[in-house]
Amino acid sequence: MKRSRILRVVILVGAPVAGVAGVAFGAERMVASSSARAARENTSPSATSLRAQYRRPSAIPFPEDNPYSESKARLGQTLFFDPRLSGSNWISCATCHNPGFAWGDGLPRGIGHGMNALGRRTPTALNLSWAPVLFWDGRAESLEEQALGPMSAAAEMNQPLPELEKELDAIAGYKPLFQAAFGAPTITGKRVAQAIATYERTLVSREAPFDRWVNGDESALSPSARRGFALFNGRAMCSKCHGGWRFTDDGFHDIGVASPDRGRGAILPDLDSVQFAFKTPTLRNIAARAPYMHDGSEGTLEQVVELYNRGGRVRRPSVATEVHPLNLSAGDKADLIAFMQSLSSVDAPVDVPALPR
Amino acid sequence: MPTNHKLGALAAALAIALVIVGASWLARAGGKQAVHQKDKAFSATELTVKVGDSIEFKNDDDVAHNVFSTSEAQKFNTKIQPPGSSAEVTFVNEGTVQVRCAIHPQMKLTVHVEK
Repeated sequence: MKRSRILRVVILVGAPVAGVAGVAFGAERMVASSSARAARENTSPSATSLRAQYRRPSAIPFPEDNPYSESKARLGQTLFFDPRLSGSNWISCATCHNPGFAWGDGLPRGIGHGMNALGRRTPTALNLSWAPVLFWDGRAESLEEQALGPMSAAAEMNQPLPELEKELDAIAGYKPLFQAAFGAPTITGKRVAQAIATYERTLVSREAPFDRWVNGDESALSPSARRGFALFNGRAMCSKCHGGWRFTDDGFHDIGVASPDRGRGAILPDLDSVQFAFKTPTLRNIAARAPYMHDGSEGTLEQVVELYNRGGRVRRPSVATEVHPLNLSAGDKADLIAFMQSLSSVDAPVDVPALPR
Repeated sequence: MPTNHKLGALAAALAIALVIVGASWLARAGGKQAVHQKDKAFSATELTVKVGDSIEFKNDDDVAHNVFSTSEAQKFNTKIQPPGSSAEVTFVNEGTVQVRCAIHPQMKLTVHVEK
């Protein structure tokens, strides 16, 4: 699906600061390292240009066929928190995408209709306006398409679309909200999806200590986090996939998680390279989003770093060529974790809307 | 019975005809364009080629790519392309071919294959 996009400004804290002075990141570490290792670190791009690659955007993109409006975002927020979108009237989008858990659920794998155990971890709803594909396996190409998936899936919210439209239509308080958002009170599944997608696009993690450092505040990162950033972009090669301000390439990689789930491979069964591959998750607020991986199989950031240090928990032909043993020291691992912890923002409290009756 | 002279002329004519036909076939099939993969993007988003033309997909990135298509007009899979490698695809059917990278879904190229 081709979706042209426009830029519409909506509140992003921490706009880029002009004239950022370059600083040799990781300098403290290099002093204590061997000359060979220092040489490897020095092959990284210059500190200034590297920081620029991680600078936050100043606006949220919205698609031309579903532009932003305050009334639509407000309707979307109301729908997002309304459990009547599920067949049981008990599960809302926010049940799994809980703002208190950085828009996840804190569980290894999601729980759906009738306490049904789902096969994959709930991904965060943060920073999705920039994502070209959604779901761990990329099966949706827009947030509008994605929003309807869990609602109608029997294992998740178990609410067929015709039933959803009928139930919402019977709630008088929704009519004026749809009128304000779409210029007509008619409730359709498409409009529900458009409103939820609009609200979700406004869910952007705020400025973290790392962003302040990118913008020139040298005191915003500890020496350990700076060394971690150098490793992240250098020897540990994390940035090959976790690059850019959202720390994701939105790509699909088998990183050697010991799981029989074929992920993207189930969508593209003829392609060897994406067997057991899952969409690279954002690292924004990662310290608040344990457990990790598509199946919650790694409980802590320490365990995640160890997985990469080993070159994956399992070896198989589809494991990405970028994943191989790293020989990280205990100090290296601590530095990488300190860096990832610097990606946590203190986001504004989220208002739970009064639901229409 | 034909004379040796006539046989020689016939062979020469046949050879010339073969050269002309061959050259014509080569002219139709000979087109080749390069598409680079850099910064997780194709160097073009839309291309038009003739049936029999080829595209050489060059990986100029420092990560692996995997160019493929599931379009009815032509399905293909270059498999994993390490950094610095190339893969050539010849387009044999008329139609529209949607080309993607299996690893990086934002990489999209539409190839129009004409007669």
